[in-house]
Amino acid sequence: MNLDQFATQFTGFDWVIVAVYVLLIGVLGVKVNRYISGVSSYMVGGRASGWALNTASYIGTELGLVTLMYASIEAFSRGFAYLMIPLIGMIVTYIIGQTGWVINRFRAMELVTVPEFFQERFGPEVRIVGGSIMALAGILNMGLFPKMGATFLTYCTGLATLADAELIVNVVMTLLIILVVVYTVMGGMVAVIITDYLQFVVLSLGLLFALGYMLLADGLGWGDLVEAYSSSKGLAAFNPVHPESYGWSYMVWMVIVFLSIGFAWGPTVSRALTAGSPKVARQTFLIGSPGSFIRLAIPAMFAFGAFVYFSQDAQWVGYFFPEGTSGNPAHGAQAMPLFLGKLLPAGWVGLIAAGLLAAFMSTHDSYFLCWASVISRDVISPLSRKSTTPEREIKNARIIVIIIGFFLLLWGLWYELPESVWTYMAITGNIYLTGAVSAILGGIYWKRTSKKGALAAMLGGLLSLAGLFAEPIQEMIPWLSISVLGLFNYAFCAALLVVFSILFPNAESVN
Amino acid sequence: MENWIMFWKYLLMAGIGAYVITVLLIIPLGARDIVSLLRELGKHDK
Repeated sequence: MNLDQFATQFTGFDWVIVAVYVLLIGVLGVKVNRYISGVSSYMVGGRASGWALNTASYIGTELGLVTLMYASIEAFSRGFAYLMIPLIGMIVTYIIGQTGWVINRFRAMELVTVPEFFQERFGPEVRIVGGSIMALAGILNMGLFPKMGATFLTYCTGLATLADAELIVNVVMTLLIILVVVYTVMGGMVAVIITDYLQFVVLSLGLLFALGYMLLADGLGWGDLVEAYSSSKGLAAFNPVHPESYGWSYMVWMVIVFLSIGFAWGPTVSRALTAGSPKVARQTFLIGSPGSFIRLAIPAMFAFGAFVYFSQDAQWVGYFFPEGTSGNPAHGAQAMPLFLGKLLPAGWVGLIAAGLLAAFMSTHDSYFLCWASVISRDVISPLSRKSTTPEREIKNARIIVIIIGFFLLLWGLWYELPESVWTYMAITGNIYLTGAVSAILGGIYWKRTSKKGALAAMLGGLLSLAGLFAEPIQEMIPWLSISVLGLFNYAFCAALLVVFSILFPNAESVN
Repeated sequence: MENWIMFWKYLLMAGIGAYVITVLLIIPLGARDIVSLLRELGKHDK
């Protein structure tokens, strides 16, 4: 491809918007630093957030550049069938908000991190193991975030016209990681909550208007999107359980994955923990449920627009659809950012890019803080012989943030973006979720759950690491899809919990 | 296929409508909560 074809409507004026916006967000983050007076305010914002602010922060954390990227990559190749995933996300979030299932208990216990529950229920060993596996899964899970952010910026802003795109993506990724590490170290959870609110306002309005603009543009209306997919992929583009689409096992896996994320995934549960009360925690999930749908559905719509836009030009067809529009697309990560850069007028595209970049900082800040808090409080502090002061704990968390940033840089440079980033994220999340869900539900609802049962379930979750090597496994066992492997691992961990709890009950239960 | 197309169309309309209401509700009330949060944290500071 000629590099000039990657030119977009992004201008110098848009760069000024991005620079000013990011600078303002950075200054705000540093300013609110003066409200950090202890571990509680640094890690859970002092547990003083009202329902509206907490919901904005909940949606703001999830509605970011990374979400836009992985949702659009998936929707670009799968079509409308992908929308079943956000629909499942919305229904599950609504049910958790309506019932307060697990999150009510966590908030009432005034936890700072989920592994603290493991200590309360099973003792310090389970907390340390749970915290270690959670941090491992979480850091692997965010391993592709910087690369996706850099890919978006490179193709949306037209930087891809300058030189070798891969080199530019790596340079942008390095700069982004430095930016977010500095921002997180300087700020803390108060900064996250307040900047999430700004992100929520700017991105919600910006993306909704951009969607309207796209649907009103020539050749990109609803009928055009439907026609393009129906003529290229047929029913498989609309029916998620069609044999050539996701299939039933993937959908069942997604229901369980979203349920697990809702009450066991650190960054999501942290919004229940920052809430002013258990009632506010429930309201956050209940009112935030449409956001769970929209955050994935809007980028999917942009991906559909990109499909129509690029499938109409012979040169782009060769680049994005080497097997034809009915086959698997190539360069899926570049389609949506390039399309937005070409569609939106100057000024507007700058505002969207600025909002997304700031959201990228906020998502990283939230994830960094969550994993650093887990490692600092749930692994280092319990293992340390000396008692840890709050100042030491915050200092530890900040050092860990820097180490995680360094790991992300290495991982991003080494690991190629997989065909389905969404599946990669579900697999890495499962490393922790499969065991943790059994331990949490068993810990709350089954009195006989023992320490050894919880430990066995947690360690059993490590089997999900096999999902990262799914291709060679599938060559040996063709029927073993990623979703079947995921479902099997949930069942396996639950079985381990039951068997080990019966075989090795806690001493007090025996007495 | 027609049924699926109609399903996605109405789902998107309902989802976007619900989200617009959420946004309009949260923008003013979230700003109010920020003021309360900073006031609360300011008290702890003193």
